[in-house]
Amino acid sequence: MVKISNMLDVLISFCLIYFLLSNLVSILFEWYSQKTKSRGKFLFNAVLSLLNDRLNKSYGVLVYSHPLVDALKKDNKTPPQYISSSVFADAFIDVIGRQSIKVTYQNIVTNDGIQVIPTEERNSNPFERFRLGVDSMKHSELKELLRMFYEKSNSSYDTLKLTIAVWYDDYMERVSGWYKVSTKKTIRIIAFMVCISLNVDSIRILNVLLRDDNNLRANLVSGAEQLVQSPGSYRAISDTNKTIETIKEVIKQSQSTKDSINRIYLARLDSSLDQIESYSLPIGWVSSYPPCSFFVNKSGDSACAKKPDDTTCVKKTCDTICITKTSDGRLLKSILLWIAGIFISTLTLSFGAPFWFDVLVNLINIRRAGAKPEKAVTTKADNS
Amino acid sequence: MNINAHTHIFDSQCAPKDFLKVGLNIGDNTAALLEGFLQNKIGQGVVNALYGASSRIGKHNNLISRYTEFLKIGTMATQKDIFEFNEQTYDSNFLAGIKFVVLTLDMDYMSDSKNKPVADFESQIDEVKRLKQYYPDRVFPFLGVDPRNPRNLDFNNNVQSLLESKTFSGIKLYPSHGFFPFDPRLDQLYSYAQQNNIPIMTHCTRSGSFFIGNNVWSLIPDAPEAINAGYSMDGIYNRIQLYKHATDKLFKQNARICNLFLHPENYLPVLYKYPKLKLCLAHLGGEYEVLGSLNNNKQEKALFEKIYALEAATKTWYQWIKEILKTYDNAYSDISYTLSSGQAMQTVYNDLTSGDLPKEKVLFGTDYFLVEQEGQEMDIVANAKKILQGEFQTLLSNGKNYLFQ
Repeated sequence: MVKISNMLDVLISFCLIYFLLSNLVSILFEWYSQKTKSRGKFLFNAVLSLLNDRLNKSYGVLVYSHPLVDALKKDNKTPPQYISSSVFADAFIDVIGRQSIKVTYQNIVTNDGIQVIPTEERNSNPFERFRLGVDSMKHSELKELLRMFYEKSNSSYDTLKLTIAVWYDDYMERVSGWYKVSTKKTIRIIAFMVCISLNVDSIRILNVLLRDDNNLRANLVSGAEQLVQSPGSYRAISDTNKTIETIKEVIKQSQSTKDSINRIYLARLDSSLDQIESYSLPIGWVSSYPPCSFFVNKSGDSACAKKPDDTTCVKKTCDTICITKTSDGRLLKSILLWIAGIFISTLTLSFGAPFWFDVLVNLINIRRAGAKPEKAVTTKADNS
Repeated sequence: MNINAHTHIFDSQCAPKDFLKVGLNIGDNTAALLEGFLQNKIGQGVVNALYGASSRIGKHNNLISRYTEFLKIGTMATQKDIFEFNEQTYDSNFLAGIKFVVLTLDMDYMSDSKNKPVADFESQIDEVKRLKQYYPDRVFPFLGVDPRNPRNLDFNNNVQSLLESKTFSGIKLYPSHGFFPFDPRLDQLYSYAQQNNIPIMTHCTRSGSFFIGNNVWSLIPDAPEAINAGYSMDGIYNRIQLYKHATDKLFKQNARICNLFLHPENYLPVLYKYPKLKLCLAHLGGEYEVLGSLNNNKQEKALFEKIYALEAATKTWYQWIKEILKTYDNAYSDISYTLSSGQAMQTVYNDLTSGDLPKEKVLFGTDYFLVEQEGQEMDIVANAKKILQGEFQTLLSNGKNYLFQ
């Protein structure tokens, strides 16, 4: 029977594994968001729905083309991922105020060409310009809101800016919530890809932790304690997991890429994989782990060399594997267990690294609160 | 002074959400599939990769690279970006310093209300107003007018003031979005334009953008009300009936039905009432109409013959336009988009030199960026220059009279 303290160690080990792998998922998700500009597009749509006024104009579009916001774009097609409330307020006040500016042009046509002379009629006080801009709008909900803002501002631009900034920040808090909900599906897909590529089978991990192969549990618990004490600390334990090594090799080769953002994410990915690798976790595509192990001839590679009638040798990414034509139902059961393991891992990794870190901290605190039986016995013996 | 009298700079936000089927000239179902694909990150990656690959190997004439070039421009972030891309292309070529007529399009009513553009027409023209401030002697915007848009009810504030300030140098009509040019709601506009010599640019070719909503026939009564000018509407009303009762599936598509809005004859009731109106019937009717049954492209020729059989037509749109140019002092046309067809340009050149097409009435224009579907803008212009020879320069400078006299 498993002791309670051992069970706690298993739980802590599990949490650490999930934390490390969730961290990897988070990095990949952030990278994906960066590449697909999904965060920027979500923000763009949120600003559009806040400011588009059917009775007047699509002010959201105009805020995005304002030089203050336009300057935040990485390139022509990448909307900014974040707009501070200060920049937003300045740009929005200017967009509304611009409606009061009147520009006229005089065309002087000569035989050689044309000279165009612009004349601008513009109030130089930005607060007053904003007021005139609001006045020029057709009556709408947005106009009512903006009128309320400037009436509350006591003719002070700073107060007006602050009022609009607070309004924007409040809205952005809700937008963050919507964004989290909208990204859940993507995170699950990435978590699934991580689980498949690293062969993260929760059921197998549980078995290994319960058996406590190679003192893994103690290593992980010690690592968890260090992590809780000083988050970000690394452990340098050598290991030869080929799956992770292969991925790291690909990353190293890709790091020569010119894109600085790619380089940052590749470095973070490399560091995260280093951390995972250092714990010798029971993950990866190795011949002794499911699903590779289902097909390996128990007699080993030498049996393959002989090519008995009931086996076929195939070259795979993991090792040379011999597919055994087995007729019993154990293979199906193993495959189903492996699928369930991957499914559980996908679900747990999609909870995110912060979730697992919080759980880890709580478990470590529980562990620290309880006495350590072995030591207590030793101490008693020493005293006697 | 060289003028490109026909360019567009609207970005994807200014267009309805289902615009792709117009832009790429594809059917509703294909457009829906392609839109889904392009909204997908993988699809966008594929377009970028295809564009990159086609640029590297220097193949700009294949279908994929043409469409990806078009999509690339059409999906740029702002109208300013799209304009500057074109301006820089010209400035590094033999037409450096050319002026641009930038045509705004009111696309708020070209589809069903659920597909309205992200950027409404009001914000589209706001951005163009700023562009005019940045490039006052380079950009000459035209104000899009759709009689269905309530903004035009306040004519003094929303149309007249923008023309009087010379922020906008003319008016753009795009009837195939769902209205007839002889719509009585445009009467005040025509009256003002004739009185103040304001140029009007229309769309007059069977290809291009059209109403993409579900029920196009709701916009076409049997006998649409017209500006009362004494012009007999029989031919126009008869054409509507022919389309309404057509059995061929081809004529049940919006793209074909919307040709009813575009027919050059639709401008005659207007010109009867306002004979001095400065009106440009763009595209010379289009490549199909310029070439007619002489078209080397068998598919285009077959389509032309089908349409003419249905309409029981006796002359091509190109012939209608030539007659209008000869009859009305201030009537113009331009070679935009049609210049992408070498064969059509050869016909135009022959007519210009023979006097059948009044050379002082034809403007140079390209229909940027829509023409990118046919190839790179400067390649097309260079090819047209080669065919039109000395007449090319005449067309380039005709824009001055059209815009400023």
